[in-house]
Amino acid sequence: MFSRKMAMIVGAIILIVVNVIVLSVNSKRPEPSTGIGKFIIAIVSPFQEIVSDSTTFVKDIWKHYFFQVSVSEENARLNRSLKQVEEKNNRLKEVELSNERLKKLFAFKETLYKRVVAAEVIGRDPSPWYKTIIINKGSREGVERGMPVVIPEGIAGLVTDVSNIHAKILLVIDQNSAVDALIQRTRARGIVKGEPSGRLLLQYVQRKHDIHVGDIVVSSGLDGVFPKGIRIGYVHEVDKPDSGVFQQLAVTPFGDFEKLEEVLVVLDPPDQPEIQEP
Amino acid sequence: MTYVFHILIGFCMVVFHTTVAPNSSLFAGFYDLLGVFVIYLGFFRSPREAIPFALFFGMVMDVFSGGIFGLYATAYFWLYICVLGLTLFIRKNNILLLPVVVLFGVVFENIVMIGITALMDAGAAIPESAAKTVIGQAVWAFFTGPVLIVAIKYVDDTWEKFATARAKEFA
Repeated sequence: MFSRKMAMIVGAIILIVVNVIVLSVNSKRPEPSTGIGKFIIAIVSPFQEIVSDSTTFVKDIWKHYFFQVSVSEENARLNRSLKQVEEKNNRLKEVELSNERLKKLFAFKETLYKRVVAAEVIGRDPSPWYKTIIINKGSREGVERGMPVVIPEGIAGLVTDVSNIHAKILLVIDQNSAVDALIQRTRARGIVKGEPSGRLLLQYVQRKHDIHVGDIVVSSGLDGVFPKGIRIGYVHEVDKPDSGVFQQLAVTPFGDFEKLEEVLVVLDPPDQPEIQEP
Repeated sequence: MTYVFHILIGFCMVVFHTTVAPNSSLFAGFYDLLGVFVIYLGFFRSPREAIPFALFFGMVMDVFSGGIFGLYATAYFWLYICVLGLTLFIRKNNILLLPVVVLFGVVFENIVMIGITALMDAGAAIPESAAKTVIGQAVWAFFTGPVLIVAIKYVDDTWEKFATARAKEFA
């Protein structure tokens, strides 16, 4: 009844329809697979860890022993202390601003993180279009899906999949990532979204706020995921249209996500803060 | 035995893609090796061997990627179907055509991935540098892809001869 050619065409159409349905269903789910993801991460990640450790070992030998031993170590030490000072300075700034607001508001709740676990990056996203990493800590160390991940420079991302000893992190620069944020100086609120270019976009910021290039963007804590006051990046471009309710800001993240080697997973989720008008 | 061998090669490629390539400036912007392996399977292996491989390693890559789950599996599956279709019109042993086929395969895979992302991922945008990335991958693929396919074929044939000989010995 049907020719071979006809059967092939019908078969191809059915396959395409099934494929589109499967992808549509998956795209609607906020989080990826559980069972398959866990299983595959558990199998592949130990090999990633071995290869990653080996490459880091070789890199370290090259970097520290054959080339500029003392200069490199001194530079690394100074960089570390600079980052610590920057982080401390940022926290003090946050505390100072918090204190000012405390005088006016009674119901203030500080939401800084307490318990963290340090992890090494052992794998990265195979696709150039997405930004995820694999770390060498998993449910055994208390890591759970949805936990925030930070670095000394600021927010790194969010745990999206966990196996026993490894976890997958969606970086803040991924286009599927979104963080509720504040401009540190003006307290204007918005949503920071990742961009394929590796930069960030601060959206839904009301036009009335006067925001300048260089203003620091911090997490608001209102998303219930990231602790309040963690640095995200600085504004490098302000797009304020002549009409409309919102302005859009291009943000450069503080962290260099191409060279990310260690991260901290925040084990204590922040308390859900009350919404305050800036 | 051949399945096990292909799975081993696949795992090595996944590990390379997720650990070595992102940390090396030499391989920055390198194309997807598993895509090239799917092209090899389309050219030289049966659908019974190729389709499970394409779907399984598509899912493995999906687990490590931040995109929609099933994106890589879709790209590999349709890449395989296209290569299979191509083999109806071109001679499989014509090595001179390999660079063009690999180039087509890498571009096709990227178009499928960007297309699906743009259509289905709410809020996703096509990166400004997409064309540059795809062209960079295509150039890499054009020059090194055929060498990789010939090398995989050589290793695969050698392995198959070895496995057959061992099987005969045991029999």
